[in-house]
Amino acid sequence: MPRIKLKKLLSKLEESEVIKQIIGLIDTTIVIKDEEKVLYGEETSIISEEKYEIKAGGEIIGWVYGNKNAATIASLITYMGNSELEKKDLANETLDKYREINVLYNIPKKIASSLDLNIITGTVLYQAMKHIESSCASVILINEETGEHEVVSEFHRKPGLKTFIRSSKPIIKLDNVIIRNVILTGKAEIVNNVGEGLRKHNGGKEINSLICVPLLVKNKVIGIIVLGIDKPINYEAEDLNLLNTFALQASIAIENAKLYGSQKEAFFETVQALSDAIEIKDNYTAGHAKRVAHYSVIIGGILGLPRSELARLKLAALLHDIGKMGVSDTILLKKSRLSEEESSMMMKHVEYGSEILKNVKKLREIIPGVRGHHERYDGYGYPDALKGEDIPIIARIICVADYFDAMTTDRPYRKGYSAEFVLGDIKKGAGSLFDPDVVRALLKAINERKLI
Amino acid sequence: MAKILIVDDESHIRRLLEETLEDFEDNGVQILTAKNGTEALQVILDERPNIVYLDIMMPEMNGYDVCASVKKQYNLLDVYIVLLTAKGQEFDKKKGIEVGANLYMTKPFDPDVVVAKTSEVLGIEV
Repeated sequence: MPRIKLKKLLSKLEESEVIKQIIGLIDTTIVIKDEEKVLYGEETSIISEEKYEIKAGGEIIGWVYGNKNAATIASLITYMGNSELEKKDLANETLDKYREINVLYNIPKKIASSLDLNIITGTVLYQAMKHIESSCASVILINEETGEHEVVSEFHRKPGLKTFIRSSKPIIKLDNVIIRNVILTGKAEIVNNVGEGLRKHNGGKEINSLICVPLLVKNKVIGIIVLGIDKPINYEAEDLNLLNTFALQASIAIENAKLYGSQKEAFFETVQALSDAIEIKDNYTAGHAKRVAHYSVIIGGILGLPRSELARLKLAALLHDIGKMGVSDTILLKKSRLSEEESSMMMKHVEYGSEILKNVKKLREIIPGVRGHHERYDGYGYPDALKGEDIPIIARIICVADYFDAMTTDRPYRKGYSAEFVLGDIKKGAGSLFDPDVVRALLKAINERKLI
Repeated sequence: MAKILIVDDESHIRRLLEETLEDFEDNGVQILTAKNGTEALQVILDERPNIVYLDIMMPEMNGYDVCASVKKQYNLLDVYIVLLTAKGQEFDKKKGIEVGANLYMTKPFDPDVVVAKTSEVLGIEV
């Protein structure tokens, strides 16, 4: 189909009255037709087969029938058609710029609001592939510790599909000379006809042209974005510029995400260290807190707690006994039965726990879980004698998980009981010591072999 | 037949919107244009377009006034009106809601969004 339809062209010319005036000037009857029908004049007015082509962009879009003067009309409309086509091209170029502007305007909003490396790199690649014709794209980051290159995100276009899918197998090989060169020099590069010459690409069969731009943070290369295409298409400077703009925004977001990630890691390592410190001081077997956290999260999952609550549950479980730091070693390590006074000192550990945590902003929200893990469902627990649903759910879960692990593991003075025996015990305590719902969730976890 | 009306006093914006929506024409949709608010209102009353892309800043009758007239005075609630505002220009959201506009977009508009919205309103895939 021609890019310009004669009918539309004529309607535009009609508006400006030009064509009518000129036809009025020349003393002849003319008929204008396209492939389908007559657009001007009457079919019956065609007296001879003499006709002149109307073209636009080299394509014939219709004919003018009539004597030699009709030729003038045909070339006039052809001229108009071509100028219309030029305008169309210009308009489409502008629309492409509009799209580009909008992408550049929207990408930072999208990726800046995310601290997830996967989302950031995914968004950037998706947009890059949408705007630069390509069959595959990767983000490769340099691991700061090992110096190794890691593909963190990769997309490819499935033949016949409009969208792109995440690849499971790497398409662009890491030991590629081009990639290594860009990482080394920090300079973006276009390589058309990759298969030829010295820089033969490992997967050369699959990729014809490549664009490779560095991800720079303070002039240091932290990785690259690669775009490749399997068709014989040459990339141009314009494509490179666009990809560079994407890379610029991606670098900042990636750096932020990495910083956030390392902060988060540091936080969890600190929590872990604290948790280990309690175990060293206490006579519990190693790994108690970790197991309680593991059991708690599984039970919480069965009870349908939201993700944010599960994260709090995990932290609270890891640190549930942190208050034992405040209990003297003579009581903590005593193997015989504690006196009433010693017992009440020991019971203080839940309160010490909340004291310790209240000054750590990021841990303040887990206090209810730590403080409440010795409350009883029937209201006879400590320290606040809360009852039933008044006890925070994470505390009710940790209570059961703590008891289960304490009883099933070996102690210096006794062997651990079997899971069946302990479960029987816990079942008996449902409704008095423990929340019956939590007990049911524990039984379900064990029956479905989720726990051990 | 479904109809789209494009209203802007600047010819290049009309042209760009026409070009953006060109594929709808191949699906039997008629694209109409108007150069100012007064003309736009006349076309809306005569032709009852399904969707109108309406520039706000126009001489004579501005976009808000056209929209208010269509929605309030003539009660043509099924004419879907998209107000167009230039980037950087203050868009009065409250006023947009007051006059009954269905949506507003900033220029330079995203052609893909315009096509998607039109598709949705007309129920025609292109």
